[in-house]
Amino acid sequence: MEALGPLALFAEALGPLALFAEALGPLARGFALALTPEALAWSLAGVTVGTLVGVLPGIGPALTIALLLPLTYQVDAAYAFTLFAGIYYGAMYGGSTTAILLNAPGETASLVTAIEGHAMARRGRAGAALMTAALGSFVAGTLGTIALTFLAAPVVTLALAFGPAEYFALMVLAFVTVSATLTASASKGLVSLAFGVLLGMVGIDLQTGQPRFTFGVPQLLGGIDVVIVAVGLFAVGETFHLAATGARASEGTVTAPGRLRMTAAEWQRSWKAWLRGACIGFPLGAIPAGGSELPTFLSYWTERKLSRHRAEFGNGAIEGVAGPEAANNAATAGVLVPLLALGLPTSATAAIMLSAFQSYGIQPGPTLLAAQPGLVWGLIASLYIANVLLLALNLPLVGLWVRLLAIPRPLLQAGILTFATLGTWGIGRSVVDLGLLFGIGFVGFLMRRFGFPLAPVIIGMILGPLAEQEFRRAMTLGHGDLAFFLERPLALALFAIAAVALAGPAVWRTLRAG
Amino acid sequence: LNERFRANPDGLLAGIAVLACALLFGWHAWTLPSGPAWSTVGPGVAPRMVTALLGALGLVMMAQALLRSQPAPSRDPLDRPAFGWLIAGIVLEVALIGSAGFVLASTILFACAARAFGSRRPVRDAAIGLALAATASAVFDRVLGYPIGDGLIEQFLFLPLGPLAAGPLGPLAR
Repeated sequence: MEALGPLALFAEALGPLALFAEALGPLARGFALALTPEALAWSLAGVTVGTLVGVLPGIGPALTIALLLPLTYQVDAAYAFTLFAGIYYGAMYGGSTTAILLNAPGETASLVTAIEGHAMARRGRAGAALMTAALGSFVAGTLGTIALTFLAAPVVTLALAFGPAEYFALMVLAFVTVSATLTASASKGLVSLAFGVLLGMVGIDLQTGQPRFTFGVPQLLGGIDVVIVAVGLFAVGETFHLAATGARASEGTVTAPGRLRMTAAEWQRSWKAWLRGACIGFPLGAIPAGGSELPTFLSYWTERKLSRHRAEFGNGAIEGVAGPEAANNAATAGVLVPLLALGLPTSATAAIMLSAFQSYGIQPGPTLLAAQPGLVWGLIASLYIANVLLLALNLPLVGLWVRLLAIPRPLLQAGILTFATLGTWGIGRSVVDLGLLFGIGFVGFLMRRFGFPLAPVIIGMILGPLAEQEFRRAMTLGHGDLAFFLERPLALALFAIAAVALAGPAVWRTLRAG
Repeated sequence: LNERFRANPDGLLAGIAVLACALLFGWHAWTLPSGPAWSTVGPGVAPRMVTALLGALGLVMMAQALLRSQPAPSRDPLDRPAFGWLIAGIVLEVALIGSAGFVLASTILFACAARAFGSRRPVRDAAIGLALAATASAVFDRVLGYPIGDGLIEQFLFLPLGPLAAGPLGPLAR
């Protein structure tokens, strides 16, 4: 009976009319909040900073939002999330610029763009590549945001039927998919995740008052700030890595962007790739699959299969830029579905945004939409606005972004370290924090060198304590008996999917080899 | 086995490091008390589960490294001088920030880091680092309301401006 409940509710909510009525009213109110001059100014600041960090190599949206977390103590929640949303979307736009003009993807999500995009630039079609990337990002980002608008409420309806056991099972599933399924090595991904969960446990256990993993350091009783871990891993670790591998001055010559114009044939070849990219990116972002690399690779592969110009692939096929760029922006919107509706972060950036919610005393999850409708719908409306601002800003300002790449590597990397130190010192003027920052940075360097993924550390650190909380709640409900989980069909099904996601890739490889 | 280890020591070393980490955290996790009677799941349960997983993963990685012949990953050799400059800058930063203050310590870190990345103009680097650290910390201290402390340079730079009750973000502040 209980298992039927959520499904019936879901079917009811899926009625298209109910959906429209339910989503459009609150969305209109969200726009009313997001179109105020202050909100627009925060959005503009967000997309500008986002594009900047997307263009600059070595800084990504997760690191940037982590450094800006102190703002949450000063600024109204609605404005802070408008800013973060702008950064999140902006970084995706900015990453493609460097990929195309410099063959140096600013973000992992732009790795694929560099293949065809830079080949186009070498053929003198840089302007067309930039344009299809920006327009594709806009189209797919907007489609993804529309899908988010209409999916958020039904997913919440479904999730309201979840108890602690189901939540714990869902978190275990997310743990497996983000760390083991889609990484090069399942064991390394799980090690990163476990390391993150242990970092998240440092400090006083809130339920029992017992200090854990503090190793006698009183400053650790309050736990480790996620800013320190994110900045340590992504900024300090990356700097160690670049210094150790002898990365010197700029890595090549910047191709001139040329005229921003697409031929009729290029339009014709682009628009279908945008739509396909959006259809691939959004669902993959929305399921807890983590990261936006997979959708871009899948989109590239699809475009190459479907294209009538397959011979051009490798030498600058425009579909190979249009599809993946659309896919990564749609995936960005998709990641916000589990974050806002379930409180489930599936990328490092989403995990940092979850901790921003927490610093406002807000717990994202099914109750968020009911408790903070203005905040959620204002955030969703600001995503539409960020997309428009990015389209309006990015193409005309491409020359400015290119000039940023002229910053010499020594100054750029030293500047990143300065901001990393400032962000950490500013939290509490604690030398212990600073030691932790550089210590974690060194661990991050070793992890990179030995091929451990970094994003699962952040996800584990934020999601781990929440998973422990749900586990304890479920066990209390079940009077301390693990059989409680076995009596819940939905939880069991989620555990089963997690087991398949964990063992599936290895089994498949064995079958294919044998 | 010896040949395999020599061909690719990375896997085994990483496995040993993970196992050592699991033992360090696990030793602590297993000494945690079971907690008050009303807590069904004590504070040690989850730490034990996670450290046990970590230990198992360490063993799996060691086994994989020894049993499966993997090609050695192509890794750039370590650039020791660059690494040394970076470490020196960081050690000086941590050592000096308490006494000399953020701006001065970060200027030194900036110059060392720039040197690590191949710059040969220490005076220019220090000047840029000083300007950046001073500006950024002034914004943190004055606009965001995060006290950066009263270091040697801070005392002359922006602390004389006096306390700003509400910074330029005042109207937006909570």
